[in-house]
Amino acid sequence: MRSADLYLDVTATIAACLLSLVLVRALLHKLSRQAELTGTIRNYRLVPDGLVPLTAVAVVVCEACAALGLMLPQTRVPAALLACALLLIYAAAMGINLLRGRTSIDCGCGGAAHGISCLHVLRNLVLALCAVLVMASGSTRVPTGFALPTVTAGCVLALWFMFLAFDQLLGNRTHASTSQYSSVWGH
Amino acid sequence: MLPIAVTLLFVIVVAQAVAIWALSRQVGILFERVSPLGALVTDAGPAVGAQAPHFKLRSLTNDTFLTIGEPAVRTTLLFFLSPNCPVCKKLLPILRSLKSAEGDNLEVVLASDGDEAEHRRFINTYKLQRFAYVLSPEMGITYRIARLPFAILIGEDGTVRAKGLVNNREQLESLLNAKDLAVASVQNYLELNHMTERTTAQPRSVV
Repeated sequence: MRSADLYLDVTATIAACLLSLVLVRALLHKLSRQAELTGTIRNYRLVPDGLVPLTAVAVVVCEACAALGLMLPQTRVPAALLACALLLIYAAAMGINLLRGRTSIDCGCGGAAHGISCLHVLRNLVLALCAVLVMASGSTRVPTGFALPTVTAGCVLALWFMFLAFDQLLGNRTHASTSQYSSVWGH
Repeated sequence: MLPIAVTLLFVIVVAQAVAIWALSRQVGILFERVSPLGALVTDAGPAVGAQAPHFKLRSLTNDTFLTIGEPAVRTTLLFFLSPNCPVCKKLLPILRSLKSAEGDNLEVVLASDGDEAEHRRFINTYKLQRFAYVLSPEMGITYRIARLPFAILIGEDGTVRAKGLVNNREQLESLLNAKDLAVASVQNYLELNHMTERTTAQPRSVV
Protein backbone atom coordinates (compact mmCIF):
# COMPACT_ATOMS: atom_id res chain seq x y z
CA MET A 1 0.00 0.00 0.00
CA ARG A 2 1.33 3.45 -0.92
CA SER A 3 1.98 5.83 1.93
CA ALA A 4 -0.23 8.48 0.30
CA ASP A 5 -3.18 6.09 0.71
CA LEU A 6 -2.31 5.65 4.37
CA TYR A 7 -2.38 9.40 4.92
CA LEU A 8 -5.75 9.60 3.18
CA ASP A 9 -7.10 6.85 5.45
CA VAL A 10 -5.84 8.64 8.54
CA THR A 11 -7.20 12.05 7.46
CA ALA A 12 -10.59 10.62 6.46
CA THR A 13 -10.89 8.69 9.74
CA ILE A 14 -10.01 11.74 11.83
CA ALA A 15 -12.47 13.98 9.94
CA ALA A 16 -15.25 11.36 10.02
CA CYS A 17 -14.87 10.68 13.76
CA LEU A 18 -14.80 14.40 14.57
CA LEU A 19 -17.91 15.12 12.49
CA SER A 20 -19.68 12.17 14.03
CA LEU A 21 -18.97 13.49 17.54
CA VAL A 22 -20.19 16.97 16.58
CA LEU A 23 -23.40 15.58 15.12
CA VAL A 24 -24.07 13.29 18.09
CA ARG A 25 -23.65 16.26 20.44
CA ALA A 26 -26.05 18.38 18.35
CA LEU A 27 -28.51 15.48 18.22
CA LEU A 28 -28.46 14.89 21.99
CA HIS A 29 -29.03 18.61 22.50
CA LYS A 30 -32.03 18.58 20.16
CA LEU A 31 -33.56 15.45 21.71
CA SER A 32 -33.17 16.78 25.25
CA ARG A 33 -35.01 19.99 24.31
CA GLN A 34 -37.72 18.73 21.98
CA ALA A 35 -40.19 21.38 23.10
CA GLU A 36 -37.77 24.17 22.26
CA LEU A 37 -36.62 22.66 18.97
CA THR A 38 -39.73 23.68 16.99
CA GLY A 39 -39.51 27.16 18.50
CA THR A 40 -35.87 27.42 17.51
CA ILE A 41 -36.63 26.37 13.92
CA ARG A 42 -39.61 28.75 13.76
CA ASN A 43 -37.37 31.60 14.90
CA TYR A 44 -35.14 31.13 11.88
CA ARG A 45 -38.22 32.15 9.84
CA LEU A 46 -37.25 30.11 6.81
CA VAL A 47 -39.98 27.45 6.67
CA PRO A 48 -43.75 28.05 6.80
CA ASP A 49 -45.23 27.50 10.28
CA GLY A 50 -47.15 24.41 9.13
CA LEU A 51 -43.96 22.67 8.03
CA VAL A 52 -42.00 23.38 11.22
CA PRO A 53 -42.80 20.07 13.03
CA LEU A 54 -41.95 18.13 9.85
CA THR A 55 -38.69 20.05 9.50
CA ALA A 56 -37.81 19.25 13.11
CA VAL A 57 -38.29 15.52 12.49
CA ALA A 58 -36.35 15.69 9.21
CA VAL A 59 -33.43 17.51 10.86
CA VAL A 60 -33.23 14.97 13.70
CA VAL A 61 -33.45 11.97 11.35
CA CYS A 62 -30.85 13.40 8.93
CA GLU A 63 -28.45 14.19 11.79
CA ALA A 64 -28.86 10.70 13.27
CA CYS A 65 -28.26 9.04 9.86
CA ALA A 66 -25.20 11.17 9.16
CA ALA A 67 -23.74 10.57 12.65
CA LEU A 68 -24.27 6.80 12.44
CA GLY A 69 -23.02 6.59 8.85
CA LEU A 70 -19.84 8.48 9.68
CA MET A 71 -19.00 6.01 12.46
CA LEU A 72 -18.76 3.09 10.00
CA PRO A 73 -15.89 3.21 7.48
CA GLN A 74 -18.00 1.54 4.76
CA THR A 75 -20.77 4.14 4.83
CA ARG A 76 -18.82 7.25 5.73
CA VAL A 77 -18.51 8.70 2.22
CA PRO A 78 -22.27 9.02 1.54
CA ALA A 79 -22.83 10.01 5.19
CA ALA A 80 -20.24 12.77 4.77
CA LEU A 81 -22.25 14.09 1.80
CA LEU A 82 -25.36 14.22 3.99
CA ALA A 83 -23.43 15.88 6.84
CA CYS A 84 -21.92 18.41 4.42
CA ALA A 85 -25.39 19.27 3.08
CA LEU A 86 -26.77 19.69 6.62
CA LEU A 87 -23.86 21.89 7.73
CA LEU A 88 -24.15 24.09 4.63
CA ILE A 89 -27.94 24.42 5.10
CA TYR A 90 -27.39 25.46 8.75
CA ALA A 91 -24.68 27.91 7.68
CA ALA A 92 -27.02 29.37 5.04
CA ALA A 93 -29.90 29.60 7.56
CA MET A 94 -27.67 31.45 10.02
CA GLY A 95 -26.20 33.63 7.25
CA ILE A 96 -29.66 34.69 6.07
CA ASN A 97 -30.71 35.62 9.60
CA LEU A 98 -27.45 37.49 10.16
CA LEU A 99 -28.21 39.53 7.04
CA ARG A 100 -31.74 40.13 8.35
CA GLY A 101 -30.17 41.39 11.57
CA ARG A 102 -31.82 38.70 13.69
CA THR A 103 -28.70 37.86 15.69
CA SER A 104 -30.42 37.25 19.03
CA ILE A 105 -32.20 34.03 18.01
CA ASP A 106 -31.00 30.83 19.66
CA CYS A 107 -28.48 29.05 17.47
CA GLY A 108 -29.78 25.62 18.52
CA CYS A 109 -26.42 24.03 17.76
CA GLY A 110 -25.84 22.27 21.09
CA GLY A 111 -24.55 23.50 24.41
CA ALA A 112 -26.04 26.50 26.18
CA ALA A 113 -28.32 28.81 24.23
CA HIS A 114 -26.55 31.72 22.62
CA GLY A 115 -27.18 34.02 19.67
CA ILE A 116 -25.74 33.58 16.22
CA SER A 117 -22.73 35.36 14.73
CA CYS A 118 -20.36 35.19 11.74
CA LEU A 119 -18.18 32.82 13.78
CA HIS A 120 -20.99 30.26 13.85
CA VAL A 121 -21.16 30.38 10.05
CA LEU A 122 -17.38 30.08 9.87
CA ARG A 123 -17.41 27.09 12.23
CA ASN A 124 -19.98 25.34 10.06
CA LEU A 125 -17.96 26.01 6.91
CA VAL A 126 -14.84 24.51 8.53
CA LEU A 127 -16.85 21.44 9.58
CA ALA A 128 -18.27 21.20 6.03
CA LEU A 129 -14.66 21.24 4.81
CA CYS A 130 -14.00 18.19 7.03
CA ALA A 131 -16.93 16.45 5.34
CA VAL A 132 -15.49 17.37 1.93
CA LEU A 133 -12.18 15.80 3.02
CA VAL A 134 -13.94 12.52 3.82
CA MET A 135 -15.80 12.60 0.50
CA ALA A 136 -12.74 13.55 -1.56
CA SER A 137 -10.58 10.83 0.01
CA GLY A 138 -13.12 8.18 -0.90
CA SER A 139 -11.38 6.11 1.75
CA THR A 140 -13.30 3.31 3.44
CA ARG A 141 -10.43 1.90 5.48
CA VAL A 142 -9.31 2.66 9.00
CA PRO A 143 -5.58 2.73 9.84
CA THR A 144 -4.24 -0.45 11.43
CA GLY A 145 -1.22 -1.29 13.52
CA PHE A 146 -0.09 0.77 16.50
CA ALA A 147 1.33 4.13 15.41
CA LEU A 148 -1.36 5.31 12.98
CA PRO A 149 -4.40 4.48 15.15
CA THR A 150 -2.66 6.22 18.06
CA VAL A 151 -2.09 9.33 15.96
CA THR A 152 -5.70 9.18 14.72
CA ALA A 153 -7.18 8.83 18.19
CA GLY A 154 -4.92 11.58 19.54
CA CYS A 155 -5.91 13.95 16.76
CA VAL A 156 -9.63 13.22 17.17
CA LEU A 157 -9.48 13.80 20.92
CA ALA A 158 -7.41 16.98 20.65
CA LEU A 159 -9.60 18.44 17.88
CA TRP A 160 -12.79 17.48 19.74
CA PHE A 161 -11.75 19.34 22.87
CA MET A 162 -10.64 22.30 20.76
CA PHE A 163 -14.11 22.30 19.17
CA LEU A 164 -15.73 22.25 22.63
CA ALA A 165 -13.48 25.09 23.76
CA PHE A 166 -14.33 27.14 20.66
CA ASP A 167 -18.04 26.53 21.23
CA GLN A 168 -17.71 27.54 24.89
CA LEU A 169 -15.90 30.74 23.91
CA LEU A 170 -18.70 31.53 21.45
CA GLY A 171 -21.17 31.14 24.35
CA ASN A 172 -19.01 33.31 26.63
CA ARG A 173 -18.98 36.09 24.04
CA THR A 174 -22.71 36.71 24.58
CA HIS A 175 -22.14 36.90 28.35
CA ALA A 176 -19.22 39.26 27.88
CA SER A 177 -21.28 41.74 25.86
CA THR A 178 -24.63 41.77 27.67
CA SER A 179 -25.07 45.44 26.83
CA GLN A 180 -25.18 44.63 23.15
CA TYR A 181 -28.30 42.49 23.29
CA SER A 182 -30.48 43.48 20.40
CA SER A 183 -34.21 43.64 20.87
CA VAL A 184 -36.28 40.50 20.43
CA TRP A 185 -39.34 42.55 21.16
CA GLY A 186 -39.34 44.31 17.79
CA HIS A 187 -40.51 42.33 14.79
CA MET B 1 11.86 5.12 20.99
CA LEU B 2 10.00 7.17 18.34
CA PRO B 3 6.56 5.56 18.92
CA ILE B 4 6.90 6.21 22.65
CA ALA B 5 7.86 9.83 21.99
CA VAL B 6 4.92 10.33 19.60
CA THR B 7 2.47 8.72 22.01
CA LEU B 8 3.77 10.83 24.87
CA LEU B 9 3.49 13.96 22.74
CA PHE B 10 -0.12 13.14 21.88
CA VAL B 11 -0.98 12.54 25.51
CA ILE B 12 0.39 16.02 26.25
CA VAL B 13 -1.46 17.64 23.32
CA VAL B 14 -4.78 16.06 24.32
CA ALA B 15 -4.23 17.03 27.94
CA GLN B 16 -3.64 20.62 26.87
CA ALA B 17 -6.75 20.61 24.69
CA VAL B 18 -8.75 19.37 27.70
CA ALA B 19 -7.18 22.09 29.85
CA ILE B 20 -8.09 24.81 27.33
CA TRP B 21 -11.66 23.55 27.18
CA ALA B 22 -11.88 23.36 30.97
CA LEU B 23 -10.57 26.92 31.29
CA SER B 24 -13.08 28.29 28.79
CA ARG B 25 -15.85 26.45 30.68
CA GLN B 26 -14.72 27.99 33.93
CA VAL B 27 -14.85 31.43 32.34
CA GLY B 28 -18.42 30.64 31.28
CA ILE B 29 -19.32 29.46 34.78
CA LEU B 30 -17.79 32.62 36.28
CA PHE B 31 -19.88 34.74 33.92
CA GLU B 32 -22.96 32.91 35.15
CA ARG B 33 -21.92 33.28 38.80
CA VAL B 34 -21.46 37.04 38.55
CA SER B 35 -24.76 37.41 36.75
CA PRO B 36 -27.45 38.42 39.23
CA LEU B 37 -29.48 35.94 41.23
CA GLY B 38 -33.19 35.88 40.67
CA ALA B 39 -34.78 37.82 37.86
CA LEU B 40 -32.36 40.13 36.07
CA VAL B 41 -33.44 43.68 36.74
CA THR B 42 -32.61 46.37 34.22
CA ASP B 43 -32.32 50.01 35.15
CA ALA B 44 -34.34 51.20 32.17
CA GLY B 45 -38.06 51.94 32.42
CA PRO B 46 -40.17 52.83 35.47
CA ALA B 47 -38.21 52.17 38.67
CA VAL B 48 -39.37 49.83 41.42
CA GLY B 49 -41.55 51.85 43.80
CA ALA B 50 -42.57 54.32 41.10
CA GLN B 51 -46.14 54.75 39.92
CA ALA B 52 -46.82 52.30 37.05
CA PRO B 53 -47.65 54.13 33.80
CA HIS B 54 -51.36 54.22 33.11
CA PHE B 55 -52.73 52.07 30.29
CA LYS B 56 -56.27 51.19 29.26
CA LEU B 57 -56.17 48.24 26.90
CA ARG B 58 -58.60 45.78 25.33
CA SER B 59 -57.96 42.14 26.15
CA LEU B 60 -57.98 39.81 23.15
CA THR B 61 -59.26 36.91 25.23
CA ASN B 62 -62.49 38.36 26.62
CA ASP B 63 -62.88 41.64 24.71
CA THR B 64 -63.14 43.72 27.88
CA PHE B 65 -61.03 46.75 28.71
CA LEU B 66 -58.61 46.56 31.59
CA THR B 67 -56.65 49.32 33.23
CA ILE B 68 -53.07 48.96 34.32
CA GLY B 69 -51.32 51.38 36.65
CA GLU B 70 -54.30 52.30 38.84
CA PRO B 71 -55.11 51.17 42.37
CA ALA B 72 -56.80 47.78 42.00
CA VAL B 73 -58.24 45.01 44.15
CA ARG B 74 -55.36 42.68 43.40
CA THR B 75 -51.76 42.52 42.35
CA THR B 76 -51.12 42.45 38.60
CA LEU B 77 -48.37 40.45 36.96
CA LEU B 78 -47.57 41.89 33.54
CA PHE B 79 -45.85 39.21 31.51
CA PHE B 80 -44.30 40.36 28.24
CA LEU B 81 -44.02 37.58 25.70
CA SER B 82 -43.99 36.85 21.99
CA PRO B 83 -45.36 33.89 19.98
CA ASN B 84 -41.87 33.22 18.62
CA CYS B 85 -39.98 33.13 21.91
CA PRO B 86 -39.31 29.51 22.94
CA VAL B 87 -38.56 30.35 26.59
CA CYS B 88 -41.87 32.26 26.89
CA LYS B 89 -43.72 29.10 25.84
CA LYS B 90 -41.81 27.07 28.38
CA LEU B 91 -43.04 29.47 31.09
CA LEU B 92 -46.74 29.30 30.12
CA PRO B 93 -47.52 26.19 32.24
CA ILE B 94 -45.67 27.84 35.15
CA LEU B 95 -47.83 30.97 34.76
CA ARG B 96 -50.91 28.75 34.74
CA SER B 97 -49.93 27.04 37.99
CA LEU B 98 -49.01 30.40 39.51
CA LYS B 99 -52.45 31.75 38.58
CA SER B 100 -54.23 28.81 40.18
CA ALA B 101 -52.00 28.94 43.26
CA GLU B 102 -52.48 32.66 43.87
CA GLY B 103 -56.17 32.58 42.92
CA ASP B 104 -57.91 35.90 43.55
CA ASN B 105 -54.76 37.64 44.79
CA LEU B 106 -53.10 37.85 41.42
CA GLU B 107 -54.19 38.96 37.97
CA VAL B 108 -51.90 37.70 35.20
CA VAL B 109 -51.83 39.90 32.09
CA LEU B 110 -49.94 38.69 29.04
CA ALA B 111 -48.62 41.53 26.89
CA SER B 112 -47.11 41.60 23.43
CA ASP B 113 -47.30 43.54 20.19
CA GLY B 114 -47.56 42.81 16.47
CA ASP B 115 -50.07 41.15 14.18
CA GLU B 116 -53.38 40.50 15.98
CA ALA B 117 -54.26 37.41 13.89
CA GLU B 118 -50.93 35.81 14.78
CA HIS B 119 -51.61 36.43 18.48
CA ARG B 120 -55.15 35.01 18.21
CA ARG B 121 -53.66 31.83 16.70
CA PHE B 122 -51.11 31.77 19.52
CA ILE B 123 -53.89 32.10 22.14
CA ASN B 124 -55.84 29.23 20.58
CA THR B 125 -52.83 26.96 20.15
CA TYR B 126 -51.62 27.40 23.73
CA LYS B 127 -55.11 27.77 25.30
CA LEU B 128 -54.45 31.11 26.93
CA GLN B 129 -58.14 32.13 27.20
CA ARG B 130 -57.92 32.24 31.00
CA PHE B 131 -55.40 35.06 30.92
CA ALA B 132 -55.94 38.66 29.93
CA TYR B 133 -53.97 39.23 26.73
CA VAL B 134 -53.18 42.72 25.50
CA LEU B 135 -51.33 44.07 22.48
CA SER B 136 -49.58 47.38 22.97
CA PRO B 137 -46.31 48.49 21.42
CA GLU B 138 -46.53 51.65 23.57
CA MET B 139 -46.48 49.63 26.78
CA GLY B 140 -43.39 47.71 25.63
CA ILE B 141 -41.65 50.99 24.85
CA THR B 142 -42.74 52.64 28.12
CA TYR B 143 -41.40 49.77 30.20
CA ARG B 144 -38.30 49.59 27.96
CA ILE B 145 -38.70 45.89 27.28
CA ALA B 146 -35.54 44.85 25.47
CA ARG B 147 -35.55 41.12 26.08
CA LEU B 148 -38.22 38.49 26.56
CA PRO B 149 -39.78 37.04 28.64
CA PHE B 150 -39.96 40.06 30.93
CA ALA B 151 -42.27 40.33 33.95
CA ILE B 152 -43.45 43.33 35.93
CA LEU B 153 -45.32 43.06 39.20
CA ILE B 154 -47.71 45.92 39.96
CA GLY B 155 -49.08 46.17 43.50
CA GLU B 156 -52.67 46.93 44.56
CA ASP B 157 -51.66 50.57 44.96
CA GLY B 158 -50.63 50.83 41.30
CA THR B 159 -46.89 51.05 41.88
CA VAL B 160 -44.21 48.86 40.35
CA ARG B 161 -43.25 46.34 43.05
CA ALA B 162 -40.73 44.20 41.19
CA LYS B 163 -39.62 43.60 37.64
CA GLY B 164 -37.09 41.60 35.71
CA LEU B 165 -36.14 39.26 32.92
CA VAL B 166 -37.49 35.82 33.80
CA ASN B 167 -36.21 32.59 32.29
CA ASN B 168 -37.50 30.04 34.79
CA ARG B 169 -39.88 29.38 37.66
CA GLU B 170 -37.35 30.48 40.30
CA GLN B 171 -36.90 33.88 38.71
CA LEU B 172 -40.66 34.36 38.34
CA GLU B 173 -41.15 33.45 41.99
CA SER B 174 -38.32 35.76 42.98
CA LEU B 175 -40.46 38.68 41.77
CA LEU B 176 -43.33 37.64 44.04
CA ASN B 177 -40.88 37.07 46.91
CA ALA B 178 -39.40 40.50 46.31
CA LYS B 179 -42.89 41.98 46.70
CA ASP B 180 -43.65 39.95 49.83
CA LEU B 181 -40.36 40.99 51.43
CA ALA B 182 -40.90 44.58 50.28
CA VAL B 183 -37.52 44.82 48.62
CA ALA B 184 -36.89 45.88 45.05
CA SER B 185 -35.21 42.66 43.94
CA VAL B 186 -33.49 39.57 45.26
CA GLN B 187 -30.15 41.23 44.52
CA ASN B 188 -31.23 44.16 46.64
CA TYR B 189 -32.28 41.78 49.43
CA LEU B 190 -28.89 40.07 49.39
CA GLU B 191 -27.19 43.46 49.47
CA LEU B 192 -29.26 44.53 52.48
CA ASN B 193 -28.44 41.27 54.27
CA HIS B 194 -24.80 41.70 53.45
CA MET B 195 -24.84 45.20 54.95
CA THR B 196 -26.44 44.09 58.21
CA GLU B 197 -23.93 41.26 58.41
CA ARG B 198 -21.12 43.73 58.06
CA THR B 199 -22.47 46.05 60.71
CA THR B 200 -22.90 43.20 63.19
CA ALA B 201 -19.49 41.84 62.34
CA GLN B 202 -17.79 45.18 62.92
CA PRO B 203 -17.46 45.09 66.74
CA ARG B 204 -15.89 41.66 66.51
CA SER B 205 -13.27 42.85 64.06
CA VAL B 206 -12.42 45.72 66.39
CA VAL B 207 -11.71 43.25 69.20
